[in-house]
Amino acid sequence: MRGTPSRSRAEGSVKGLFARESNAGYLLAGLVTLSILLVFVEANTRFLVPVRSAVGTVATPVYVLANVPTSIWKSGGWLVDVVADRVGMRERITHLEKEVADLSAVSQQFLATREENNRLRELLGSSARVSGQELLAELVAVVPDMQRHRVVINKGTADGVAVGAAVIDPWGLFGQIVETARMTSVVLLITDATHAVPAEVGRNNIRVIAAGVGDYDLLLEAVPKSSDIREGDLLFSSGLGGRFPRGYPVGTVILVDKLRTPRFAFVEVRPAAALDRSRYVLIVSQPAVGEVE
Amino acid sequence: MIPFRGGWVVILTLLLAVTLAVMQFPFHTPRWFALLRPEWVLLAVFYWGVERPDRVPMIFVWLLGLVLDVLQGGLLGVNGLCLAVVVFVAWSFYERLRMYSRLQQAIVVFFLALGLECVKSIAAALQETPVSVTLIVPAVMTMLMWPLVAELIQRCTQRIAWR
Repeated sequence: MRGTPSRSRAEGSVKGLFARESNAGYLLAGLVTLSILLVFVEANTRFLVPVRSAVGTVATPVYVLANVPTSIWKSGGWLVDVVADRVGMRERITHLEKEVADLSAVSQQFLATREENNRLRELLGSSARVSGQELLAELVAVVPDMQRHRVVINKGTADGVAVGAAVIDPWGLFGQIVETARMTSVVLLITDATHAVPAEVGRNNIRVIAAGVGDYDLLLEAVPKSSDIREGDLLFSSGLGGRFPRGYPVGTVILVDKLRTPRFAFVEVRPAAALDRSRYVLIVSQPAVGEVE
Repeated sequence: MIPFRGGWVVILTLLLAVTLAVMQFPFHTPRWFALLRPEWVLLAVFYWGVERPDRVPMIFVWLLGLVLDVLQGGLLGVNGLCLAVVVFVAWSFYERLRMYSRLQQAIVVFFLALGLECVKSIAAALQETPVSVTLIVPAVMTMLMWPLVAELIQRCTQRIAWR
């Protein structure tokens, strides 16, 4: 009789000890199932886009925090501005002023050319090309994965960025928006293995598709061996597919090898955009044309 | 006993780990440099899971994993799954793990990190992203960082009143 309560207490405490662990097991099983479910739902459907966007919005401060060291050290950053000497600053200003003058000279010619082009198009009976809105954005993070060519920029749905908008840098086509949060969005670079851009050769308007392979360069898909593409040819976005505006530089052909692959020519293209260096990019939203997907 | 007393240290460490996990390298570093990044969050979660199992709720860690997935551009749930397993391992064996030397712990960390890399690769394959063949490099880096990180967190937080 005297032993019973103490034994039951002992059993109770042992139960208490194991109760927590078995709970942990159930919890783990639940979370693992939920995770696997999430992975499959996201891999196959687009249901989770809003969830992702919401989590991204919550996580934005992390990007800001992670960006603090670079924003202090980069050229033109906070520290550089504080300790820069007067001569250096003056030099920089002169340099920038010269650049602005050069560019505005070019853009004046561009305006005239565009007017002329639109007049000619009118004569031909085709619709004038309307230029879309442009939005300057700054890179805040690079997705830390060698296999994924993605970067995060500091403009989001609050600034009117939408999924599918094209992104360019000062040198050429950069990528497109694939994810948006409130203050940030994710850009898929044209070199990502899941990305391809319809392009044309500047010299003779041959239409090609420049696909990323997850490396520095792009490959042209299904180019017949007889087609007239040479090393040094410039590629521009063709605007087909409706995702990218027409006429932005995609890259330069750096290698044409007609023997390497059996059926098609092997054509390598070096992207025009400084994909690994640009800090500022422009988001070019198209005036609504046939949106794909 | 206040259950969350001292919990802010855990949260601070995890936040720091997440920040390190997305911090960009200076420009002009070669791409393969990204391979050398250890799994900071795994290290922090494992440390606190062993040291303070009562202050690391599994659901919280799982949610942290979701945030990390969004930040790293992977499929939702990948990091959550692995971090939940890490917490479970830490919870189940914390008494034994505490007796291990840092080197022995590092081996456990290596296998956990390798598991994480494998799950990431499977998810990448589902997403039709090319799978990295160098799974083992981040795992080894994580293992090598373990003694350093563990000692660092221990030295910095040993004066904190937990209860």
